[in-house]
Amino acid sequence: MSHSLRFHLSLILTLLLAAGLATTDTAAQHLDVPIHDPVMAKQDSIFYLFGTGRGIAVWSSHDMESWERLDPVFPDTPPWTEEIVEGGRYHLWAPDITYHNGNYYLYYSVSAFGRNTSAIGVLSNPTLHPDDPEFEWTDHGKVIRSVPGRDLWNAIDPNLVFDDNGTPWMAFGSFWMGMKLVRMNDNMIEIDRNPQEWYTIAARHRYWKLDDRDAGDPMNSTIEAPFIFKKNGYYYNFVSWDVCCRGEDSTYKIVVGRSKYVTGPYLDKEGQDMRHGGGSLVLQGNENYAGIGHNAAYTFSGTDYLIAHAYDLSDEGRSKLLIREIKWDENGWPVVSLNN
Amino acid sequence: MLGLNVVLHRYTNGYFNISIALPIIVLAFQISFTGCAAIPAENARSGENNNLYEGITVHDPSIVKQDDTYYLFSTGAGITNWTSADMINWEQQEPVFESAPEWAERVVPGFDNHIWAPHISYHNGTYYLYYSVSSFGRNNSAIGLATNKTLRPNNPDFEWEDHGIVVESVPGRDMWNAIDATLSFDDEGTPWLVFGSHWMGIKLVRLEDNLKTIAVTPEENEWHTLAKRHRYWKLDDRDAGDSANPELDYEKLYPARILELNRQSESGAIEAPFIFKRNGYYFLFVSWDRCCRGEDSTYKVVVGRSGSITGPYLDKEGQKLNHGGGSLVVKGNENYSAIGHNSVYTFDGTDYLVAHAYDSADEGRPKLIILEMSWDEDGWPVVSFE
Repeated sequence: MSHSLRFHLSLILTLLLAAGLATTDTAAQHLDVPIHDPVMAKQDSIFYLFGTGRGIAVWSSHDMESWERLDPVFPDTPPWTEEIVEGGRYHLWAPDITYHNGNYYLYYSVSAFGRNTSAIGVLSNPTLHPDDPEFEWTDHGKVIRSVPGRDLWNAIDPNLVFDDNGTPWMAFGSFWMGMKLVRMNDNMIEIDRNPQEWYTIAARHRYWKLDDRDAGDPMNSTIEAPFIFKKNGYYYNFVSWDVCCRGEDSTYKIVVGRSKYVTGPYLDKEGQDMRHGGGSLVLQGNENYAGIGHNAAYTFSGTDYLIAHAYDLSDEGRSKLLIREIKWDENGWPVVSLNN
Repeated sequence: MLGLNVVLHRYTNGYFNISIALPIIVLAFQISFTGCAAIPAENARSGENNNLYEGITVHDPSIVKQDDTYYLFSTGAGITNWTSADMINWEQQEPVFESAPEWAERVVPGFDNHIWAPHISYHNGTYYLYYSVSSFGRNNSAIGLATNKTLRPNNPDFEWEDHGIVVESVPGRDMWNAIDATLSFDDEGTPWLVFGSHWMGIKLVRLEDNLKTIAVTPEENEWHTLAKRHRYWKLDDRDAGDSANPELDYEKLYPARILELNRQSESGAIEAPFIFKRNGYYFLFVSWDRCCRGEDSTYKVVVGRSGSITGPYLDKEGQKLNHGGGSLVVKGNENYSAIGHNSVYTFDGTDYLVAHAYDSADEGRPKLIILEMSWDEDGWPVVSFE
């Protein structure tokens, strides 16, 4: 699987570059924050940013403009990750941060390069302020695991969402047969088994003859990083298509569909089902960015924001933090402009 | 006779065939261990179609021999079973389970103890009986296991012990169906369970040496797909492949054109795997197309082989069974609309293919078929079902 090898080598390079930047520059304007797969939470008046990186990278800001790098979430990697991928040749990817009932829940991915030998784990903390005496990440182990040959999905890229009944669901997935959604237990750290409830919420073409262990066609079938955002009675399912992690050669883009139900079906502007390849474009690269993707969406002080990473063409395609306001058109679809 | 014609149905998918719709289950008339259910010899039409015996109605038969007696297990209430001294005259016995295993209700709410596709085998002093709990057109299913020290009911050690679920499939999570399990050992003595029906095909999973649970190790190479057929990628997760799941609203799911294609095209219609070892090869037999439709059934048996139990399995033309390959072994003839769900056994040095076939002269009821199997010069199995 030379594609995935390249993808992962590029990812390592990107992250090493990002780490390199970070050590010399712990504060950066948001346009220059080197990040991959960003998610954000606000506690009191501070914004906290989490992203892919050694031990899960953390940044903080008072204004979403100037960011300061903090210690990563994990000083050491959790022992249970050895069970998923032996030998330590794995990476911690794509976190998701959610606040619920007095705790912050940080979901994150553990995976092996190019394989769906993966798992989503979860940590919790009563606070995100590092100086708070109660600040401590508690490891709750793994939530979901994917097994090659058994599962036609990849347990990475988690996103937790609550439906209108207050029931938690986990969206996740990358390549294979698309984006999955599973009902979570109210305790937020495991899936609900009474009974288990699973759905596919978005997918692209996959040739039936592909081997179980084949992630899929990177040129036409890449789909990952789901993020569900609630607005005006709809659930909006953002996903990322096409090629990430190739610097200036990235073609990453964000598409969206919506549904009245968290379980779908999610339809795009043309009424196409996202499970049948549907998805309406939200953001793609331009003269400044090769590609944009792996977004989150939040409401802060009454304004909706899209958070993503973008491959900066003025900086050799390094991935940088992108924050833009989301506006909504007359039909209730999100509109995001790359112009400041 | 006491009318112990038991009409058995197994709906893995597909439509409700009214002609064999009403299960006529006459339970447990036999009180003595010798049974009073012997079918008179004059009903045997042995020799026709090269079948050793015709007449008893069974679906998905599986046979093992203990001492001088053949024991046959098949789909039915509590798992139907029969005995014979000669594979020709069969007597029906007590079902394995008087009532459904307790765990079945969670897997299939309202489960009525109609258990599918049992597989019996003997290993290290114990008889292992894998069986399926499911409902037609859906993959909320589980494979259970029961064991016994002996199959002779009058032996003091005779007692079926249920060990619960070996593997379970969950709709929306799994693209396979946990039914139709058969046990197989590779050349290293490692146990594997091969199973599956529709969805994305036949699965193989390594078992623990106790044969009761899936092997749990950090290694990733424990699951494999051994055979599959075309499946349109846009099908709903809960669609077996032919759009017959009663819980789905097909008007909303697919455009009419796609729905029509699904219903005609046998998309992914593969099930009932059985692995037989011979001369350094593992032969994987599977059934294609539609069972359970009486005279409208199109069921047939195909085969592929591999030097390794995990595959890849290739047919006579070198086509991978994972890419839709499979060489025909046996299909329906002028007396039987279709045949399938086979196993292969060696008794006293002779190989036999055991299956059921839909009797065109008896409204398509499924009947026991036992055929001698030979091997051609290239080492492929041959049966005659003329």
